[in-house]
Amino acid sequence: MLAGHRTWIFEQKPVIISTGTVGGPFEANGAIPDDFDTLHADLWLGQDSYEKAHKILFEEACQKAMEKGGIQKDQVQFILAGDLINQITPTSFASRTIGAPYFGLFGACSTSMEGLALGAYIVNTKGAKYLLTGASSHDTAVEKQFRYPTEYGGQKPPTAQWTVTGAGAALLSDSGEGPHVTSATIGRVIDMGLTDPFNMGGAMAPAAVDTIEAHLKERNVEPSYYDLIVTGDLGQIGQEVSMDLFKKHGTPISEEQYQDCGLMIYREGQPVLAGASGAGCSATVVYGHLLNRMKNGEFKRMLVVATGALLSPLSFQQNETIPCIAHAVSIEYGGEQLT
Amino acid sequence: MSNNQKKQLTPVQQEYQKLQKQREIKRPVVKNCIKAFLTGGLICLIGQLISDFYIYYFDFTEQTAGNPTVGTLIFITMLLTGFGVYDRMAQFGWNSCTCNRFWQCGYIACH
Repeated sequence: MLAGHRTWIFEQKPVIISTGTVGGPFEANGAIPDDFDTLHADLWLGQDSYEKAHKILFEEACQKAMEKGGIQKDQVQFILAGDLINQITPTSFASRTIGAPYFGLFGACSTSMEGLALGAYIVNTKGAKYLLTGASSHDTAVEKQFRYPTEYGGQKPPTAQWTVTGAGAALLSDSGEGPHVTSATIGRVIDMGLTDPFNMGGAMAPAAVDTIEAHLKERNVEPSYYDLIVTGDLGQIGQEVSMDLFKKHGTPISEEQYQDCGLMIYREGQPVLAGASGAGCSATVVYGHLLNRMKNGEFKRMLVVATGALLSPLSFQQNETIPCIAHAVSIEYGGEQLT
Repeated sequence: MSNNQKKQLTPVQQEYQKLQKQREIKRPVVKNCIKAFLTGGLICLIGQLISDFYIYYFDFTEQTAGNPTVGTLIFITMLLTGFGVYDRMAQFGWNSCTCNRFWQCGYIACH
């Protein structure tokens, strides 16, 4: 059901019956290694290119989700997923292996929630019984495409963020046991005229603020309804700037409930500068760490706002500004739910 | 950003950029310069040692020791890049490392 202008309320409350998360060596060394299903010690994953390794990451995440959910790959009706590489080949190639009907999505780092929102909509309207959605990124493959090859050794400014090597996939169904997807707000493309590809957080913050405020208004809830409002990969700068914007707009969001996946995945002392980023960032942290905490009863309701910078290597070389987007999905488990 | 480009921004964009600028962590330019000075100096010191090594232990003069010295430095850089150490060193003292690389490339091109 449409509420307001761009919010969907899911009456059937699609269930995330299982998830699969895969990470690389840098994530294994991070703050939440126990929340990954599989961790790889080798950045290459035994492949001869980073892009092939990237494909394996997503394949494994999907396989893990299906295995944990106890279903076979021919039972999966749709895959809705994407990544950051040109023409999203890693995800498409991984979907070739799984063999299910496939929608390739590109929402940059917001792909995880774009997929979950669309997936929940399809399941809610009985368009599918089982559906896989997810996102992935590979640090060196993405850095090579968007910035410099890592081996070139270009120095990064303190506003830069570290792309996560990882994949997260969720298996959605109309019934079963697990956290419910209750609503989603689709983001608008917002461009504040920033051009620095080494400061994504600052560029994406207004998009996150716009979507969160629209969600609260259209779902007609106070920020305190959510135990946690978690953004995808704003990093340190983006988080501070968006908090400034909330204060300016008078939106009562507290600093305790407003967190960022990009600041959760790595621990203090890792050279990640302003935090983590990448399509795999929100996917692995939400489908691993946060859903585990939710199942342990640490909190009941969260709003996940995955943020994406919609630039291409070509657009920033041509000095175009960076348009940004954020999609919000609410996930609830236990406790009273709005109807 | 040039003033010309700034003029095309809407007032909302300009206001946001001002707000954003306050939160942006600045590049530590002075610190970077000192680090680059030290890293660059260290690389030159190593180069000098290699050069002296060729002069004292082999039949090279000050004029001819340049070629094997540069060759050795390039070989070391190649190894460091291959083993993935170079990008970490570069994050520490970028200017000097990259300048040295350019210098090496230039040297090869000249000869």
